[in-house]
Amino acid sequence: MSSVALPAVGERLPDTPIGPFDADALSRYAAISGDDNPLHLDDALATSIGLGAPPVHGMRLLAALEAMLAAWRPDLVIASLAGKFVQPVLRGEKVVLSGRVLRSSSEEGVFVRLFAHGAARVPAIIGEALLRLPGKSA
Amino acid sequence: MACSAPVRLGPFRVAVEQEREAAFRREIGFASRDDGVAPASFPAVWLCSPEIHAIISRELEGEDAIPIHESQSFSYVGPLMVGESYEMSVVLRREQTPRRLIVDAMVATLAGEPRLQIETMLRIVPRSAVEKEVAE
Repeated sequence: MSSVALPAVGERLPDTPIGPFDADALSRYAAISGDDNPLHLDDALATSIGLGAPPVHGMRLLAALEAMLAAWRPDLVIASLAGKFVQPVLRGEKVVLSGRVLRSSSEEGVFVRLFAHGAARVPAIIGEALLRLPGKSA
Repeated sequence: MACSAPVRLGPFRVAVEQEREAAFRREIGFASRDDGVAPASFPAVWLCSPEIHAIISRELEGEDAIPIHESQSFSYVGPLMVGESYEMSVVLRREQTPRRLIVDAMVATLAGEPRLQIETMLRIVPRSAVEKEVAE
């Protein structure tokens, strides 16, 4: 039996503001990740499809959700992480990350619903993560 | 609905290089940790390999369409360790209605022990449809 206190169902992760991301930040992520899709870097291309500015890489934001989870519960490990990219976050927008525990047990792990909100009313990302105690396999 | 045969790539060698993992952590804003486990989202960098890019580009050749990253998942069996190398195998599937490319990747240790499954879903959208969607 583990002595680690698991989060309660319904517990909310502290809202975490990130960004805004400027052109340098998008270029740095592109260089580090290898995702050099010009849509994220080229104003003219973004404008050509009706966006007001290049969108932030969705994976950059999903990784930030993981970083938020790691800061919240560094004693748990991530067994799975997933996200649907619903709405683009544009360069210059502030983003707020949030999450809520939907299930929690030492057997099944801790299932967290995740959100990233940009300037739009609808979430930019709807995600989920399953966290487990270290050494607990799937 | 699936259409045409999936395309298989690999296995090819990938690695959690110390320097790149550290740069990824810094850029994203991960707290440092000393257990040597890479972030769960780190393998995103492997999905940007020239081999995978090439096959996606080939799929879109001659079309005025854009691949839009629709969803992403990472499901772990065991952690990826900084400094270690792994083998990644990729299967690219196509779907119609709506049109999608789905990249499924399996990552295993060099001894063949599974570590991770990755699914990347790209919706293929004609540029004109993107413009319309954004305008709405």
